Order: sequence, then structure tokens, then C-alpha cells
Amino acid sequence: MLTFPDLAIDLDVRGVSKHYRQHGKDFTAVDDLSLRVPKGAFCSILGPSGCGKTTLLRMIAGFIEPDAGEIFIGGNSMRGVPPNRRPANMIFQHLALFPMMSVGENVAYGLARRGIAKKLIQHQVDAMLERVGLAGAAVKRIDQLSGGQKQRAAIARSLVLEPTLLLLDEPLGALDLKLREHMKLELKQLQAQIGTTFVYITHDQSEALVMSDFIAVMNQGKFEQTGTPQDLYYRPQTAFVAGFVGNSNRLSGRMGAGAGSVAQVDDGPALFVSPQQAFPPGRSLALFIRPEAIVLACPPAPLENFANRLSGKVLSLFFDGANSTVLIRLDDSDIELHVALFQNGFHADIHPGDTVSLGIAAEHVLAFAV
Amino acid sequence: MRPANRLLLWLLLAPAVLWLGLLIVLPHLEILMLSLRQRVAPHEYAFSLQQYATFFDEPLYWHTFARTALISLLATLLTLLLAFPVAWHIAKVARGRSKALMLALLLLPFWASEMVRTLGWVILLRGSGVIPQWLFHLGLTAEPVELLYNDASILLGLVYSSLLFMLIPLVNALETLDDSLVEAAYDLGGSRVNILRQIILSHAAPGIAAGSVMVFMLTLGNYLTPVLLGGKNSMWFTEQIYTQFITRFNWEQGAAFALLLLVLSTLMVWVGLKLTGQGFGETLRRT
Ligand SMILES: Nc1ncnc2c1ncn2[C@@H]1O[C@H](COP(=O)(O)OP(=O)(O)O)[C@@H](O)[C@H]1O
Ligand SMILES: [Mg+2]
Repeated sequence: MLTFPDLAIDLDVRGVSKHYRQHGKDFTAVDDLSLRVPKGAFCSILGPSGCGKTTLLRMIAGFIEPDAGEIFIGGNSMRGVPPNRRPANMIFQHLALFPMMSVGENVAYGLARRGIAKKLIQHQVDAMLERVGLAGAAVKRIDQLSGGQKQRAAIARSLVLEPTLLLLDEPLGALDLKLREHMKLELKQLQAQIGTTFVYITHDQSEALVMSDFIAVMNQGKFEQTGTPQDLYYRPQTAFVAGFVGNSNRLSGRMGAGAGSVAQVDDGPALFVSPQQAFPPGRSLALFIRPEAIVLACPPAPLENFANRLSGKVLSLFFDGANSTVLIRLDDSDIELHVALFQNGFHADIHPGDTVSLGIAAEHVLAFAV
Repeated sequence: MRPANRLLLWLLLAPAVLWLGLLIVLPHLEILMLSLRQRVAPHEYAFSLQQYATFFDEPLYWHTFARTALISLLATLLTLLLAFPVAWHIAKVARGRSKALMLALLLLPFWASEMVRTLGWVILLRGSGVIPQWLFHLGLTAEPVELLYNDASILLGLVYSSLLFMLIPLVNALETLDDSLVEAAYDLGGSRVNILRQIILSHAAPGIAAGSVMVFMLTLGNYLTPVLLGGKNSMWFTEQIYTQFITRFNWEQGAAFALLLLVLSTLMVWVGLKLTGQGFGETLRRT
């Protein structure tokens, strides 16, 4: 758990749980979660679909009452406070813009509920729309906006209320890939400019990595690990995080009997593994190796600096610009590894069928007990 | 379109065209002709607007019409107020089996004929009927009171027979309302009253208009309920038409009344829709 000693905490979730009855059985959707989000942070909750993210967010927004635990927003307990009186606003999965109102009326809705004078509302709405790049769109109907514009209108509608907390439930999920990539950056920039605390839930690890100051990885109602994107990527603490965040080659094996951290891959080679954690001999392990942590030599070369030296044959090549990989089968085994290809011309003449040498440093082979 | 296709289209349309032509257009043309003539001598007729003049000259007639329209309006409003919470429950709260069951329960009374359903009310409400007897035995009234033959009993019967026609368009309209719109409004600080007005009613407005038009027209043209529950003095406009055609054998006058009912009620619906900002064509499409 991260601690933020000298920052105000905007969101403090303490031991919150939620149970549902499903098919007559008790089912824990959110299991005793705690989370602290400091002021101005972009915090993501990342997890596969069905892990309880929406349930957690809706408890923060006030739509669901937790079965146990307590939620504080801006230092105040939210027990018994209905959603319309919480200093938090939500961006819904499908945005939930009001189709019966114009864009301007949508953005004005919350202000009007506060009984602010019409003229002042008009002024604030225009300023907010300008800020999100929708200047002059106030009179448009919702269905006249493009996907990205709708996104911005929904954000404007919430941010104009200057909430302590903005809650976002996979708002980019409905966009096509290209727009999603663009909106990721835009959302991050907007958050940095405005400084509102964001709690963003997503099942897309790349969204979380790009945008967040820190991420809580969630699985089956629990947090697996909380940390910065770099922490999660380079120092995953559980097999789930190692597999879910970023791409990895996953191998299964067993701890070797000898001295030093050597694991025997099932039907494969023995590998020196990261000495972070000690396992008793014979312990079954999940091993994770990132494609970019494997160094390729073609034509084959000794690669003396690496603890693990392997050789194999190129099975296929997946060209994807900067994300190109090759699939390599290790000699004398059925183990296949994805290896990143650096597009600096160094590996330009690699072809299926080529024999290659592979080098992997011990600290890049992460082992977790399973 | 190929000739064969066109022929097929005409064949498919034929029943509808025949139905429209024979049962709606022709009788109305006939009624129009009837209403515009006057008998000057046995078997001799001349063009005249006399029948229409009678409607406006004779207070009884247009009073009856105004009364019919007013009670129909009231019945429509009451039906809407009663149906809305029920429709909300069916569309938004009930799930799965209980939803299907509720819809079935609503349809169930319609298996009995309107006559039988209305007679049911007669049995309940008449002086020697179920409810007055209970009230008497419970000591709430000194003697069994006649609950039939007043405006309230007419209203009761009209609302009862109209509920389903209001419920169906309302349930349809509310089912298409995205729950997250309501939640978003709540999240943005909306009160219950405001959400009802700005989000729910404004989304359901076409359904409300459709249901109201249907109920209003059905009520205005209802004959059985006012006569059975309101008795001889129910003063319902359709009763006047009936009297002219059947009792007085004054077909010309009856025809004029029938056309007036059609034109005036259409006019009222049109004005009502204009005032509430609903499109006439749009609403008719939904009914
Ligand atoms: N109202 C409910 N009743 C029963 N089960 C629910 C309800 N809402 C959510 N669940 C269950 O709780 C789990 C978590 O749901 P959710 O929070 O929506 O997950 P996520 O947003 O991570 O996809 C799911 O298995 C879902 O089926
Ligand atoms: Mg979800």
C-alpha cells in the first residue's frame, strides 16, 4: 500500500465490502477494500470485467450502500449521504447525456439544480465548454456530436460542478481504437490542467498505464497490488499482476533443488530467476518474462553477459511497427517465447526458420508461487 | 417496381383498403350527406345546415357535448395519474417472471366483454349491491345508499375501462428510458421532483400523449359505460346520437351530431397536442 504523508486525501475507502445474492448463494463482489487517493491524483482501478470495479465506483458515488466499511470524500464520511449531495460526480459507461436537452442544457443541469442565477450559469457553461474544446457547441443536440465530443460534453457536465472527485466508469470503452488512443492522452492532459482528483476504472491495462499516477489492480473483489504504473510493470507482486499488466511470456515450472535461484521449466530448460523471493525446492512456480527483456542474437552469438543463454528457431514474425515481435521455439523443447524486435534495422533481416541465440538476465525472469 | 410485384402489393393491401373504404370512408361520406339535408316533404329532401344550427341553438345539445368532453378529459387525467406509477413499476422495478405476471393480470379483465365488466360495477355499486350493503352493515351509513347513477360512478367506469390503453404506451415509453439517465441526473444534484419532470416525463412525453389521445377518444365515444353506470340521465353525447338515430328516427340530426363529435374531438386532440408541444402525426403513429 502506498502512503502519501504530506498530501490531503480526497478519497479514503476503508474496509468496504459488498455482497450480492446470486442463484441463492452469497457472492462477494467487493471484498474488504481499502484505498487512499491524494488530492489531484489520477488513480485507476484496473481489473478484468466482473471483478467488482463498477460496484466499488457506485459505492463511492452513493448509488450502492456498502455492506461494511466506510467511505470518506474530502475528509467527510459519506455514510447515508445520497448521490445528489456527494461532492463526487460520475461519468457513466455510456455517458448518459440527456438526449432531451441541448449540449448547453446538459452542462447547465447541475448548476441549475444549485439554484445559481441564469446569467452566471450561462457564463460558466460557455467557459467549461471552451475548456474541453466544445466552444460554440452549446446549442447542438446530443446526437449531433461525434463520439469524442460526447465524451467531452459528459466530462464538462460533471466538471462544471467542481467536484472533489470525478469518477469514470470505462468511458472510453465504446470508442473505436484510434479515438480511444487519442482520448487517453486528452483525458490525461485535461486532468493535469484542471487538477481534479480522478478515479478511473478500466479493464484496459494500456489505458491505466498511460493515464494514471497510480493504479490499483483488482481481481475477484480484492486489490492485488497498488502502485505506480512503473511499479506494476517492473515489480509485479503477484502472478495475476505480472500476467495482467503488460505482455509477458508465461511459463510454468518448479523450483530447483540446488543452491541459487534456479527454476526448472516444465519440459524445458533450467532458468536463473530473479532472486527477489526464496522458494523451497520443488515448489511449483509461474514464470514471467517480458518480450522486450529477451535479447536476440541473429546470427547466433555467445551472449556471455546473460545468466540465461538459450537457442531456438524463429517460427513466425509479427510485424507491427514499433511493437513487432517474433515467436521463437526453444531447441529441444515445445516452449515458445514471444521476443520483441527493435526496429532500429538491427533485426531487419530476421526470417522464419532462422536459428537464433537468446539471452535473458536473471532479474527479468519473475517467479511466483502458484 | 416490377408489374408482378405491384400486383402482389395491391393484393396484400386489398383487405386494408377495402376495410378503410367500406367501413370508414363510405359510412362517413353517407353520414356527411345525411347531415346536410332536411326533409321538406315526405320523401323530399333539400340541402340545409339546419342540423348543425340546432346543435348550437339548443343548449341541451352543446351542454351535453361540453359535459361529455369535460368528463372525458377528467377521466383521461385520472387514468394517467393512476397508470403512471403502475407503468413505472412494470417497466423499471419488476423483473422477469413477476413482470410477465403483472402484464398478464392487466390483460385478464379484457377476456370478459366490456358489458360484463361494466355490469360487475353495477352489481357492486347499486343500492342493493355489495358495497352499499357492507357500508350499511358496518354502520357507516344509516341505510344502503345508491352509489350508481352519478358522475363519480361514470368516471370510475371510464377510468377502469381505459387503464390498459394508457398503460401499454406508458410501459413502452418507460422501458426505453435508460436507467443511467436517471442516475446521472441524481448524481448531478437533481431532486426527485426535478428528475421526474425533466428526465422521466420528458422522455415519456410521446407515450403519455399517445395514451392520453387514445383514452380520450375512447372515452368520448364510449356509450355502454355512461349509460349503464350513469343511468338514463347520464347526459353523454353518444347517447344523444343514439336517441336521434334510434328513438327519434331523425337520422339527419344524428348524422350531424356524429360528425360534430368526430370534428370537435379531433380538434380538441390537435389543440391539446399543440399546447403540450407534441407532434400530431408523431403521436398518431404511436397509438
Ligand atoms: N445487482 C447485482 N446483483 C447481483 N450481482 C451483481 C449485481 N451487480 C453486479 N453483480 C455481480 O458482481 C460482480 C461485479 O460486477 P461489476 O462491479 O459490475 O464488475 P466490473 O465493473 O468489474 O465488470 C459481477 O460478477 C456481477 O455479476
Ligand atoms: Mg463495469
